[in-house]
Amino acid sequence: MSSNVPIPGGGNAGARPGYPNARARVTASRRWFYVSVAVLAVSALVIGLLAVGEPWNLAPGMTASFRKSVVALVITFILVLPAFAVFRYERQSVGGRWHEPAWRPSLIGWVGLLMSLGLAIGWHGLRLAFYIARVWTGQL
Amino acid sequence: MIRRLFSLFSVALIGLSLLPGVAGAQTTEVPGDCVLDENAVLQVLLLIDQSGSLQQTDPDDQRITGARAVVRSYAALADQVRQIEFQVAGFGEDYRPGEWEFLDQDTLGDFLERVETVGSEDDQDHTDYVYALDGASQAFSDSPSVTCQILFWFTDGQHDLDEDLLPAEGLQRFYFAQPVTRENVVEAETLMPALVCDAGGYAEQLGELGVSSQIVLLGDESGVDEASRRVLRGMGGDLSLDCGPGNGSFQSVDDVSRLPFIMACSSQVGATQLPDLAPDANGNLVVNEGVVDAGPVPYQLATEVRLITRGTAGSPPGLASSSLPVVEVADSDSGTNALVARPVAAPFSIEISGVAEVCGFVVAQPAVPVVQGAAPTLYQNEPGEFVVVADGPHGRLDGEALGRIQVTADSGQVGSPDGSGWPVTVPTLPAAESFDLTVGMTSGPGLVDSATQNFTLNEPINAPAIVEQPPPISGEGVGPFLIDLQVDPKDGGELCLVGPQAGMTDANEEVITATADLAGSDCIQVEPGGMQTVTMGVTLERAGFAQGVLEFQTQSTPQTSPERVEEGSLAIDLEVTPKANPVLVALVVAGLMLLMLGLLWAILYGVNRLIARIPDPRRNRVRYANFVAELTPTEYGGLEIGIVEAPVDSAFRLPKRTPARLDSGGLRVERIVSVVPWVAPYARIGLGTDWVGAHQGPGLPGRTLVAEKVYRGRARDALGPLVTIGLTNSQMDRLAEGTAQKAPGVLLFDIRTARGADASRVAADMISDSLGLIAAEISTRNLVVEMERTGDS
Repeated sequence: MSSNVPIPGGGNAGARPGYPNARARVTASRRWFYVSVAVLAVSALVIGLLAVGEPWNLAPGMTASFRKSVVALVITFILVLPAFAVFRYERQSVGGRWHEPAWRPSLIGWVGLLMSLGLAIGWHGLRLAFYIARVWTGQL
Repeated sequence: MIRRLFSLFSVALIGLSLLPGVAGAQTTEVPGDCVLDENAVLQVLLLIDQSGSLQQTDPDDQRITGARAVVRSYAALADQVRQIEFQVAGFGEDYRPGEWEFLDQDTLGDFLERVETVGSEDDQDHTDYVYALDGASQAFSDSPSVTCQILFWFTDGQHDLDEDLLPAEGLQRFYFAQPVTRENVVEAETLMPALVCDAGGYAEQLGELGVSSQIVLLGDESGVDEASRRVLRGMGGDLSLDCGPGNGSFQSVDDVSRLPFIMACSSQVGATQLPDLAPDANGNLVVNEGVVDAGPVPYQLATEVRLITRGTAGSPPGLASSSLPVVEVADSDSGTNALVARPVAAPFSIEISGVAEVCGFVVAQPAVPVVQGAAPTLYQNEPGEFVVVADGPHGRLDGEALGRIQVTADSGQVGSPDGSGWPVTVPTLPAAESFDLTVGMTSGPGLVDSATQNFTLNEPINAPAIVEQPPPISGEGVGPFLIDLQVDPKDGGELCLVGPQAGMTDANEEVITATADLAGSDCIQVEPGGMQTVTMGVTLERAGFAQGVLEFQTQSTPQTSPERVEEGSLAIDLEVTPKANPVLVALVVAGLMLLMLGLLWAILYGVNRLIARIPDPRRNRVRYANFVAELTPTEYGGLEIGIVEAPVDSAFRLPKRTPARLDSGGLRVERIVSVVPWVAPYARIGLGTDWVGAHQGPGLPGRTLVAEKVYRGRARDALGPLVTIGLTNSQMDRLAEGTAQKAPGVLLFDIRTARGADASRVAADMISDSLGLIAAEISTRNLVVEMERTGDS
């Protein structure tokens, strides 16, 4: 019987002697939690770097600028959002009774998420929106 | 009548010669190979036959018209040379001298009158070439200040001492010892060729003086005896006749009506004759730029085209069409038409009909060489690149016209023209402060000009300069896109944008041209001082998606040496798009944001739901027991509550569990995941009755409440301890009326908390503690309900 699933980052307090499955769960959960936090933070950094020095409007063709915006959005969809899902899951699945969220300090994860989303939508998305709008209106 | 016509024609030709441009034209053909320049001094002797034979050969005085043309032609040169001395003389049996007087536009009228006076004389009985040439040779001087001497000699026949008109006492001739009589007239006439042509003769004397003889013979040359022909032809340039230096010209005209035409043609000085000019079979003559270009000079250098045409007597040629304004004067009597047009280097066409013969002349100005340095700065001991361009009377020459111009340089090598000029390469510039390059330019016969340009070596230009290329810019629409340029004024001067418009290729591979300005104009004046910021505006001809580098050519002219121009280029990296539709952009951005938020919500909600699917193993320790409680109202408005049926140990059971639900008899605990992602999952707890009273605890934080049907609890309430009782509405009403009621209840708790003791006793304690709190809550709720009903406070 598994019991008292530990909280990531909470040390080995939740692991009980004689329960190897529980310890493995703790280890795996902690690893995934850290990975998700790292992915959120690194993605935010990369998306931010992709936004540096780029014009706010785009020319047609897969120019470097255009590719950067597309890469930023791809990172957002492929990495950031799944990482946040893992971040969220791992934080809750090892929570308190009947999976109540255990609100542990995870500022990096939340800042990474918000920064990634903000830049992806507010900068890269805006640039691509201009591009789409112009193509849509037939001004190509 | 004839005189009036002559006068009319004369006035017209005067008008032609007075037209501006004639005076300034470069002389290309002047008798005697004279060079006309501002230092030239001309002496022209117009010698007109006055013999009585003219009454038969030229009864209408056509020679006067021709002689006038001669005078006007030379008068037209007056502005080009320092001085023209002109004399009108007549001859017959003797020489009737005139006087040397200055000919220019002011004195032209006097000379024309003099020509009419002298030319109208035809009262002399004989034609004596010896007297004519003796007088002419005496008239010309050997003055070194005179650079050109011309004898224009008109005669209507051969040297002839008419024996029928000899006086009885004989005619005194200085070259014949006795008076000439019928008996010795042949002997006297025989002396003439020797006196003229032999060594020391008049032809040689005139030749030594540098006199060029222009001879016009009225009459059939074949009717002239051999001696006279030798003199006329020999002095007229035929060296084979051994009479004179051969620097003259001769023309004969047997039809007197052609005389004005011939004299007008032969007197066209300062102009180049157009070759191969002839009307077609229908008498139509077309002269265009090609005809002029077939001449010795490019038509771009032509400033005037003179066409002298002859039709038939009484029917002069007429202008059919012309793309140029022309001045045209026709003489009906002689059938002669004189036309002057001024081409402007552009293609033109002049068509004249009724033409029997024509002579055409073009007045041209030499191309003026302009020497420029190909590089703004020349350095000692290094190769020097120069460019020579040609300025014509109508502007700078280019294209094929350059191929007809010869350019020489005193240093270096002149290359082939490249369409705009000639490159000149000097292998090594001297180790001196400056370098002089002299360039000669020959545009055609007699059209020679040269220029010398001094170039300072190793001299910095110090013209205003753009110190750095501007950063890339991007924008919407057609601009103007404003760019700040950092300009180092250095010594000050002018900074200009020159050259063709720049262009960039758009997404459709079509070129978008761009124009640029510096602070609103092509050029700006930059004053010396510190670094200045100049705003450059770039405007596109149309909007489009484009990214590229616009290359603008710049020219900087330093204030200190404006003749030196530094050229450069300015590259603008421009990324441009059409103006976007802001509403559409907003919609797309909003859509993207909604998509992101939707995904985020899906993650939050989905994870909560996913978590809800995971069983909580701690619920395996939870047990429940049913019990019955009795609630009895007291006289003080309170409730007494007690356990009617306490649970026994055997009554404790394991609830039915699913990941999201826990059923403990009548008690149902459901795990609810809110659609609002920031709300934590909670538990919805109820007994299936109208009212539920619950006490969560004991423990911290405990909570007691009474709610209708269900209440919102914490998810961890599913692990107990939790004491709940259920009441119907009617029971609640009866309690309010003071009637005791029995209520079913459920206890939920972790069986481990009863370890080491009887579960029933522990449960009873829990139920007892909790029921008291629940009863108090119900009392309070009933009191509030009662007060609301009665209106008490």
